[in-house]
Amino acid sequence: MKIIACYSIKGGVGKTATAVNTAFMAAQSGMRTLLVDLDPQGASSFYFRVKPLKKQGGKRLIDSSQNMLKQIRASDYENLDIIPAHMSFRNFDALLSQLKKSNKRLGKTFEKLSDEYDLIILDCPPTISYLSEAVFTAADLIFVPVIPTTLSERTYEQLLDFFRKNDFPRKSIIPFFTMVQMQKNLHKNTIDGMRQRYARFLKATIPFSADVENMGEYRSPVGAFARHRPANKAYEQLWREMRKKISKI
Amino acid sequence: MMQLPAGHWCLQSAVTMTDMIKQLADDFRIECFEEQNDSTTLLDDYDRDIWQANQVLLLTAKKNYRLYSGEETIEYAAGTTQMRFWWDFPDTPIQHKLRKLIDLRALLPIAELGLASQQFVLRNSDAKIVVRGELSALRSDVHDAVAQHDEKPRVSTFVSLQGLRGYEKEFQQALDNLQALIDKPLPSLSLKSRIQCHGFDVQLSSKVFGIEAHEPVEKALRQMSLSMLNKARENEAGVIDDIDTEFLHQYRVSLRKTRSLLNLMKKALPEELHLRLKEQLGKIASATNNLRDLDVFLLEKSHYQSMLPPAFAKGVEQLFSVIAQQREKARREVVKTFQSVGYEQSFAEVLQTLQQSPLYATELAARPVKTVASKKILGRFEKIRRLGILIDADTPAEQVHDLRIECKKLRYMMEFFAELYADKAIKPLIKSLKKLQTILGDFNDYEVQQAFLAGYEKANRSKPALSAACNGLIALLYQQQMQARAQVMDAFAQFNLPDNVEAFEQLFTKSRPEQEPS
Repeated sequence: MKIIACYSIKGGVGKTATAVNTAFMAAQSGMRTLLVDLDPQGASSFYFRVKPLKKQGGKRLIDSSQNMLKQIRASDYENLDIIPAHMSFRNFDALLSQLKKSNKRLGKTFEKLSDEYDLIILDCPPTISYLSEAVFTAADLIFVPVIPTTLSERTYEQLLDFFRKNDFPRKSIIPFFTMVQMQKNLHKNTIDGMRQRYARFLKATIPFSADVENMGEYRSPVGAFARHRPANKAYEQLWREMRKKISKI
Repeated sequence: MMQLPAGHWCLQSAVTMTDMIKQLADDFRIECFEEQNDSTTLLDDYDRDIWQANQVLLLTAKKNYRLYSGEETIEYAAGTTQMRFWWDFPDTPIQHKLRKLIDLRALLPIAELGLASQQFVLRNSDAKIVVRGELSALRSDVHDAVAQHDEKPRVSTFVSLQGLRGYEKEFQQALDNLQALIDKPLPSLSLKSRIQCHGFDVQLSSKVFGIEAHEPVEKALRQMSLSMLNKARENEAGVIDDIDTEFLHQYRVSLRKTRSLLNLMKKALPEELHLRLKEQLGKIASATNNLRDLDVFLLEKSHYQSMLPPAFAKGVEQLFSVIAQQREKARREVVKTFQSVGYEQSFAEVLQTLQQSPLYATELAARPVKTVASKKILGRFEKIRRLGILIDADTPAEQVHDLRIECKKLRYMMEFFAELYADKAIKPLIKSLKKLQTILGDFNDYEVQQAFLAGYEKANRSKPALSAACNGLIALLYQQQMQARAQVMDAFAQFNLPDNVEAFEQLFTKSRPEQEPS
C-alpha cells in the first residue's frame, strides 16, 4: 500500500481537483484506492456526493482504526472508497499537538488498511499545521500543484524551506503546474524559469479549464463526464507520471 | 475485509421494473441501465453431466457459447458451425472444462431459454449511489427430458441487491421496500439456481436397483436384469441418430452387465431358462461388436497420430480413412438390426421372460440376496488371490488374462450389490480393485489393438504407407503392453496387502450370519 498526498500551502490551486481526478484514474486502472478528505471544507467529499461526517470527533478517527473503517464510504465507482471530510477535522491540529509522536500517528492508522487498499490519497487542507506535518511524515510522496505565477513560486519556495528546516525529506515533494494559461506570458515565463531551477517538476501541466470547474456542477471527476476533453487528457498524463513515481516507492 | 450486505431473491410473479420503481420511489431515485436480452439454447449431454457439475452451457442466438460456473461466466464466441463435442471447440478454457465435463458425449439442445437482465442503481437525495442491483427474467420452452411443473409461470423474475460500503442502512431500506414483491431467497445468482427456481430440474436415472438384503435371489435377479436391459434400450435411439459413441458403449455395458449377472447367479434360475436367456442376449450383443471395436479405434485417432513420427502421417491418415468407412458401414448395419422386426421380437421375448413371477425352482433362488452376494464376492476375491500369487515375470499372458477376467467379474458383483452395503465400507474396496484392473486392462487393450492393426496390415499390404503405419503402431503398442505387464505384479501386491484383504473378509463375511432369515 502506498500513501500519497495532494498538498499546497496556498488554497485554490487545483489541489482537490487533482486528488479527485487522480483517485478516479487510479481506481479505473485497477488499484484499490481510498481517498481521504482531510480538508474540513469537504470539497473532495462533495465531488463524490458523499455527505461530510457530523457526529464523531476527529480524535476518534486518529485513535481508532476500527472507527476509521466505519467512516469509509463506497464511491459510485469501482475500486474507489472515500473517507469523507469532517467538520471537526479543524480540531486535528489541537489534538495532534497534544499527542506524543503525533507525526507518526496518522501513518500508523493507515497501515491497518494495507490489506484493503493499494493506494491512499490524502487531500490536505491548505495550511502548515500539525496535521500537515503528520501528512508529510505519513505520505510516501507529496504532489504539489503550482499555478505558474510569482506568488505561487514564492509559496513553493516556502514549502521547500519548511521541509529543509524541519528535516522532512524534500525528495518526496513532487511539484507540477496547474491552471495553466499558456497564452499568458507570465505563465509561460514562470514555467520556463521554474523548470530550470527545479528539475523535479512533472512534465504534465493541467490547463485552466471550464471542464475542471464543471466538476462541481456534475459532482463527478472530469473523466466521468468529459473523458475526451483536453483537461482530462492532461490529468491522464499527470496520472501516468504519478503512477511511475508511485511504483518506484 | 468487510462483508457487504448482498442477496438474491426470486420474485413473486412477472415483476417489471415499473413495479420495482413503485416500491422504491419513496426512498430512492432509481436509475436503470439498458436491458440485455438473449435468446439461448441450454445445452448438455445425454447424462446431463454439465448440470450435475453445477454448471450451465448456453448457445446464444448469435452463436456464442457461454459456460456459467457458479456466478461466473466463461464466454466464448464461436463461429457458425455447430459444436457437438469438446474437441470441436478451439483450445480455450471452455474446451478444457467441457473435456472434463462431457468427455466423449455430444452436446444436445435441452431447452430454449430467454434471458433478460437489467442493472439498476438506487441513489439518495444527493444523487449518490447507495445500492446496486439487477432485475433478471427467465423465459422457457422445453425440448425434452427436463421436467417442468405445469403450475409454474412461463416467466420467472429475480432481483439481486448489492450493498455499498458505508450505506448498509440504505440496503436494508431497499430490501424492506421490496419485501412485498419477493417470493423467496435464492441460494445464489448462479444461472442453475435461477433455472431451478423457474421450476426446471433434471431427472436423473437412479443409480440403485432398489433391492433389499432379505429379498430372494431370483426376485432380485429378475428386477436387476430388467432394469439394466431397459437402460440398454434407452440408448438405442442415440445409436440410430449417431449422436455420440457413448450411446452404443452404454448400451453394450448394460447388456454385458446383465449377461454377467445372469451368469454369476445362474443357479437361481432353471438351467433351461438360463441357457435360453444367455443365447438370446449373446446374439443381441454380438450384433454390435464390430461397430464398437471400430469406434474405440477411431476415438484413439489423435493418440495414434501423436505416437508415430510425421513421416508416417500419410499412412495413419489412410488407415483411419479405411476404418472410418468401415465404421459407417458397421453403423448402418447396427441401425438396420435395431430397426428390424427380429431384433424387436427377441428383445421383447427376453423382457417378457424376465417379467414373469419368480419360479423359485432351485435351491439358490429363494435364499436372501445379500447372503448369497457376500458369499460369491468373497469366493471370487479368494480365487483372485490364488491366481494372483502365482503370477511372476515369466507367467504366460493367458494366465494374466484369466486374472483380468476374474477381476472384472468381482467388480461387477461388487457394483451390482453395492447398495446392500455401507458406501463407506464398499467404495474403498472397489477403488482398490479398480487400480489393479487399470493395469490388467491396459495389458489387454494393447494386445487387442495390436491384433486389430495386424488384421488391417494383412488386408492392406498393397498400400505401403498404411502398412508401415500399422507396423509402426504395433511395435509401439507392444512396448506399451510390456510396460503394463511389468506393473502387474506390483499392482497385485498392492491389492493383496493385509489391510485390504482383511477389509474384504470383514465386509463380506460379517454381514452373512446376521442377515440369515429366521
